[in-house]
Amino acid sequence: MANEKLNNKFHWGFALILVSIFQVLTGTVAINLNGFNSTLFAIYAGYILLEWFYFFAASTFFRQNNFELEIIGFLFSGIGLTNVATIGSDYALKQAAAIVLGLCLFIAMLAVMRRTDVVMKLRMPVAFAAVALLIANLALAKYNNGALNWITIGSFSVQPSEFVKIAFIFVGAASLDKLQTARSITKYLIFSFGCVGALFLMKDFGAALIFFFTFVIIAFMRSGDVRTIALVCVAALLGAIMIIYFKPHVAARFKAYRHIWEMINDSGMQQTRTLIYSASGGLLGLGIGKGELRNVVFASTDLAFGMICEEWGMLVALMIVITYACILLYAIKVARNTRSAFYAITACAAAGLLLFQTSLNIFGVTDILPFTGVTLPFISRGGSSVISSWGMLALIKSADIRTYPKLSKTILPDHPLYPPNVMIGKRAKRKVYIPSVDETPVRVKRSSADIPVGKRASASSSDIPVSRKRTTSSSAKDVPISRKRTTNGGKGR
Amino acid sequence: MRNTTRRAFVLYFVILAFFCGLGYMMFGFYTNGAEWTSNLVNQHIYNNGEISSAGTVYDRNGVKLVYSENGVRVYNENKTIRKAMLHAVGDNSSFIATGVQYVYSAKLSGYDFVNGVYNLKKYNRGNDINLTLDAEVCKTAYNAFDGRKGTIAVYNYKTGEMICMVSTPTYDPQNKPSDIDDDDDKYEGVYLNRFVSGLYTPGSIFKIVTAISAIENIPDIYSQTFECTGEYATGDGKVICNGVHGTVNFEQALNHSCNSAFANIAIQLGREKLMQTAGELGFNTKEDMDQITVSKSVFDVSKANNVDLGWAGIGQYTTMVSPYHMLTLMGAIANDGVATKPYFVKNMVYPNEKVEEIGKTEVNKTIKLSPEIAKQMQKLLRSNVVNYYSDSTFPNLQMCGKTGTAEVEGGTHAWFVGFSQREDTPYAVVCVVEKSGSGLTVAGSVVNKVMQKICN
Repeated sequence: MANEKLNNKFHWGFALILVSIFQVLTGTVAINLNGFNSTLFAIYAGYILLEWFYFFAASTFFRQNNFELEIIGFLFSGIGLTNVATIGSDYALKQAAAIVLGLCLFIAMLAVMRRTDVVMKLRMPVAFAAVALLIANLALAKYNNGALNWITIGSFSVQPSEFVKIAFIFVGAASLDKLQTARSITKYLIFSFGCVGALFLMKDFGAALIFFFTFVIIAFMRSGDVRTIALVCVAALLGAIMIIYFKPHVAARFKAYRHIWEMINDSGMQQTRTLIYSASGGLLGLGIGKGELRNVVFASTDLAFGMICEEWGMLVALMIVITYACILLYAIKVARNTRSAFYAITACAAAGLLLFQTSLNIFGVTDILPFTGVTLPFISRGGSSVISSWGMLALIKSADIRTYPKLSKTILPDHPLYPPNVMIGKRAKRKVYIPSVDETPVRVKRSSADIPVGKRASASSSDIPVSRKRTTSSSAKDVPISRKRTTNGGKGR
Repeated sequence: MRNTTRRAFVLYFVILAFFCGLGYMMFGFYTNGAEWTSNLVNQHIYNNGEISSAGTVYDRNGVKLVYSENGVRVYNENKTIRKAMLHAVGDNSSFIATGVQYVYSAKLSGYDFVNGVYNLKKYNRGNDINLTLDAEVCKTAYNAFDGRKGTIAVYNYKTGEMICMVSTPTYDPQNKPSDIDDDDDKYEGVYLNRFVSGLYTPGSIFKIVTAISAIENIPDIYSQTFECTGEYATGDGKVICNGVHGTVNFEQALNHSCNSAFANIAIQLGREKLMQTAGELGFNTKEDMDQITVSKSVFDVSKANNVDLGWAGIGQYTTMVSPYHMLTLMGAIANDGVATKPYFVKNMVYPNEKVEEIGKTEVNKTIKLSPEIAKQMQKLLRSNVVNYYSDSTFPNLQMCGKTGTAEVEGGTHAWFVGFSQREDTPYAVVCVVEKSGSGLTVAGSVVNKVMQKICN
């Protein structure tokens, strides 16, 4: 076991070494782009040190050994930082500060999410805080590029909707624990409607779409009620059609969609430039800082994908966006073996949100979907966006049973992912059940001994997660997954 | 709990949809990348809408027609060559949509899907393009036009290589005149390459088409005689002739370009036969010269009465022809019925010296001309020069040809179409000089100057 632990720790350390090498290489280019820039040097040195400090602290003091999401977060934040640093060191400073704040939020959220009872207590305050934030936004914001979604405090601009995203998933997953009861669904519906409505009033249609998509995921995962979901979707579609019909200026914002080349210097400017310069970059890119898209308005926020395509190459850009799909796959996988429905929903909703937002961004700037001006998580310049992206990672990671090793040990000694100091991929491979040659694999008559170790049920009551004990319902539905996988467990009831 | 996690399967559809979108996006980049990259707003290639960084364009003898130096396009040092080659090379601002700098901008910029425009940025040069045109010949042709408008083109009817392609009016792309966009007659249609984009009333050169139709459809055409009294009366009116030719046979009628005889022949043929032949010779068919779209020659007598048909038979009426099409038709006659397509972009050279052929010998399949009729037409067109225009007009060339003097509002277009029969100079030529006088004296002399420059 000790050997294995060391071995696995080395894996994550090795991954972080690769990330650091990548950041040293790309950072060197950014630092020396216009002569040596000592501010940028300090930022990069600090950032890489921070990564290693986090890694050592988390693996030593908190026995963490699942660093998938942090590695991705560090890598992407670093790419975003470099992209921003080539534009200006003051931007880089803000971006680096946002990454640090994001990491703090990540750690804080992991601590909160550890305790299901705390989560349940927090959901109403969080919901109210979210609504208050949006109302404050509506009251205080001034028009900024056609949308009202910014609050300016001193020299900092904050985009409250980015933080409300986290609250939206948190509240949604927590209060939908029993969607069947009319009251809880009504409350959440009101909350969702309030959020989406406020975003509409702010003319932040991209964020409104993201919230709606997330709502659909949460509602479906909890209720599985296709009819209700379909009804909600149709209602939303009708609403959208009515808005476009009665408020033509809303439709006018999307008039360039599929007509960008006719409005090349008008409302199709950002999209056409993205296509032109991404194509100019080719698969391999022109080199960091060598692009022309950076001179287009809002390049580093809205068009970060195009900048990456042009300067880093389409292959790098593709790898980044495909990684978001991988995060969602990871979330689906950890959701299968997590402590309760709450964690399964938060992980899937947060990862789904990240992928949906990525799609809106990259397909928006390439004119495959209407251009809504949402950010590319981690990569786009913008503090709120980066911090909120780290929050999403925390929502996903909290669902991973290995995140809370002590907790898992007490409640899930026979959990498929126990002991937690094992990488998911390796574990799955090792635990696959292969019958020996002379054994006749008759599935019906399979005895408990034939069942793969990882899926074996435990009769002990400690199998039931903490959260289950706190809820009143004890229907068969909510028995943890590990038990339901046994051959006779489900049928016997 | 189990249901919750099982329902996560919908997220696989989200992932699937995402990958479909990615595939669609990459397909878009793959298929349209070259077009997008060569957009005028691309600052890698253009500077304020003017082409700045791109490869070099050479003529057939390696003369640099245009190249980039320090982000500026520099044209040939000779002003006349710059003006003569303008429509082939194109301008900085892509006003000339048929020029190489516009049509092949993605190739000149060195764009490819894998590297984008990296080579252009790194070496400050894209791919080079070699033309088949001869700058010195074009210069001679430009001088021969002497300020008149029109176009001349010469190509090798065996290989398709163009030697000369000049369109006037033109201007110096290095020092673009400031009054060029004034609504002035001087620069009428200056951005058009009249060879590919021009459409003209053909006048008597259309008699070649009528003659081919007559040989195909009237068995005794060579034994017929025609009376020319200076006009030819049809049921609906008269067709006026350019002279009083008396009694002429078919060959003499073509020699003298007798309108009376050809109006008679057109009416004998009838609408359907004449339209069928015109269609077989490539009228009413869209053509492309590689990536350049060529204006379509139009011939339609379906609603013509007899006198209109008579006029149509001698190339007046509503008929319009493109010089490109006429050159190809000459090539078909000269090359025993095989219509070789003209091209003027030879190949592209990558920075690593790799050569990609662009222009190649191709046959225009829409032009259907039997070898026998082509040979008969060669004899008739040779007879034109020998018996009427005189070989001294085109010394040492064994020219075959037909002149045309097309009547249009405000003057007459002088036409000459023909080819040299000499084995070592297999060149066909088309020349039209707008509103300038008669075919032989005006267009004939321009053609002779150019052909002498090429052949001797």
